[in-house]
Amino acid sequence: MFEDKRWLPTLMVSPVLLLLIVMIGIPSIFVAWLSLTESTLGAQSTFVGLDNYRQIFSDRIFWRATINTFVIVNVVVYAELIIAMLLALALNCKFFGKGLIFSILIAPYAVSEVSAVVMWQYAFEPDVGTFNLLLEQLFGIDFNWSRNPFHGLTLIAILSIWIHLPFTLIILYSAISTVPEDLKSAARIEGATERQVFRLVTFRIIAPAVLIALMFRYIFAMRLFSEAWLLTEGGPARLTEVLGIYLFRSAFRYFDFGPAAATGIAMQFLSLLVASFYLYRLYKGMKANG
Amino acid sequence: MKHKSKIMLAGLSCLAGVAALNLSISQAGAETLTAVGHKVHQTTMTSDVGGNFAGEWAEKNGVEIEWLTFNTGAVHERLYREASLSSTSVDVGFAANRFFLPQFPAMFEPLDDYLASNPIEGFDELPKGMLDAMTIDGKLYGIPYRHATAALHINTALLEEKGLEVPTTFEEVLDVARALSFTRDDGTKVYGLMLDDRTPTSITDIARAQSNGEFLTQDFKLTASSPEMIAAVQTVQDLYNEGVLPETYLSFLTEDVITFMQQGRGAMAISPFGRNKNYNNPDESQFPGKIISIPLPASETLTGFKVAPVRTEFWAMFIPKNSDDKDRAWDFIRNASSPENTIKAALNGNGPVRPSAYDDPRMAERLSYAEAEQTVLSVARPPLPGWDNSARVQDIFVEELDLVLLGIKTPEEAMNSVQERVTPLLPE
Repeated sequence: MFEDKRWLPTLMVSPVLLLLIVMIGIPSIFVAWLSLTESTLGAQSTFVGLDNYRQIFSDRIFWRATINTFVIVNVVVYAELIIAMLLALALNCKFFGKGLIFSILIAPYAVSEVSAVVMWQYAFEPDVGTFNLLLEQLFGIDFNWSRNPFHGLTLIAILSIWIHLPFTLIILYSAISTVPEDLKSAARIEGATERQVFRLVTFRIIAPAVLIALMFRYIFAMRLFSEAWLLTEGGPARLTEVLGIYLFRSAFRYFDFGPAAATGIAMQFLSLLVASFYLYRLYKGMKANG
Repeated sequence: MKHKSKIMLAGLSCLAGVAALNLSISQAGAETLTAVGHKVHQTTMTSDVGGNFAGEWAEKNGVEIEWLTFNTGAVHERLYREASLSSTSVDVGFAANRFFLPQFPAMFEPLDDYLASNPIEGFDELPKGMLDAMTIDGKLYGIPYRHATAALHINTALLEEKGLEVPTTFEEVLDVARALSFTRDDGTKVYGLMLDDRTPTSITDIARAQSNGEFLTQDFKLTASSPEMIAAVQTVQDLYNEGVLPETYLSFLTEDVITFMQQGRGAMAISPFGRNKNYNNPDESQFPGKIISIPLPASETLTGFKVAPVRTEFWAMFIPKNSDDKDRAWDFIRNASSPENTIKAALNGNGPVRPSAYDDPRMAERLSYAEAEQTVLSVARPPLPGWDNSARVQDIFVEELDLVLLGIKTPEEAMNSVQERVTPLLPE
């Protein structure tokens, strides 16, 4: 029996599988079940079928939160990608103080979200905020994120980009560092411009890393909560509410766990939808490369 | 063989060590009383100004008190979650009246038996209205500890700077607020009036000061679309549009009100009396000793009231049903509720739930607002009844008020909408 080693790989990965089942599988099943019940504190849960889904899908604030989440997530993820790509390309060159600049760029990842929100809140305070005064004096813009929902969402996006940029930057920088210099030199000898070198050589090699960064950031960004909650609490008039806040209100302000769980499942489906698109592209790319 | 023995010995030592560690942890757990509440509960029980009576109790009983403090909403979320589990390390929890839930009997211990076997000194003095609010099916679940009653706080330095007098009617409050909205010589922009938030709790203060209006009575009569409430929302809209309320009012938190008052960016505030200590805190405030707290004056057209019948909210102490040491928790509550400790807590900035506390000479001597607070208490009422939809109703109110402040709806449209949306959420 021990001569046959086919069981060995299964045995080796079984602890991880077990961990995944315990940490992700079972809670997910519990949340799915919870979404089909009427459940609150100190009371027995009762099965209500799809009522919670009907309730959230007929709530205009749920749809507003979904649209806000979708818009912010796309702005944040793509803005992060473009900025991180430019920074990674710049950091790939040799220059004095590169280590220090790299450290400064990844520092926001070590800052707690609460501190970051307080810092940006004061920087953009309508009366005394430095950035607000600059915006007003240089461009005549009255940036009042507390009153104007568009400004509120913009500040949430800026904050989110600032906090999470290091994640994308590290992935892209690592990928760009692995592109062989001789390949780029060969392309240049063949007459390729720098733009063509980037598009036809560098980008093709780092494409899988870009897709992975995009996919992870999409999934993380979909859970957007603390930046929005700490800054605007979804206000004014719940116009800057995102799905994370909608879920939080249901669960921890109204103690209405059924709709909260249904919102969680809806968020999971949104993430899966986005992730499956990128996973498919990744799989196709890998297949094409043999 | 020798090697195997060594391994076995090491293994046994490890097991013994783990067992000893477990024992010491469980012993340490038995000597800790965990309380979930707001920071203000901890401060009023442990500050040295009036006396650290919670610390003295802990020392006498050989107990260590572990305080888990959060902001108001999070206190209830944590407490109710802990009380819903099969077991908890929480022994005592604080909850505010508008967060009382019909599910209390499933989560908290009825206190009648404890009260009968080990009574609270001078229990009969505790206000019946507060005790009734915590009684379900004839059983008492909470002991009142603190009331928070609204006052008008005025920065007298700014008042003098503009050559103004302390207002005596609500109309004068609005006039003074308008006059105190200005830019100081050093460039500081001053806002005339601060409100704690945009919930019905704060707006009802305005409605009551103007015309004794009400949003929702304790017996669930909803009057959101009444002329009194519409007028109150109109007043708030006017103040916001005129720049009397801060530009950031739409995202304001309690902490912001404190900061604005301490920095002199807010000239007056309608907030609980106990906040006087924060506004005058010499370590943080730029105007220590300059901010006075008086009853909010009633409108000159409001007959029968010398001062506005503003909000009073109260907090009570509860024992979770799943607590390990309910007797000790009860002893902690008994100690905190005694007449002497009620006075000590008041000197530490608490709103005393025992009327007799105001007769103590230490109160008048050390609390500048003691007499004013006592005056207001005689007419103050809770702003909202407690039931399981109260948070949802507050969110609806805030949403509609925001639409008024953004200029999207008129006060009348917004309050009619509140009336329509809240009605189905009321208990049958």
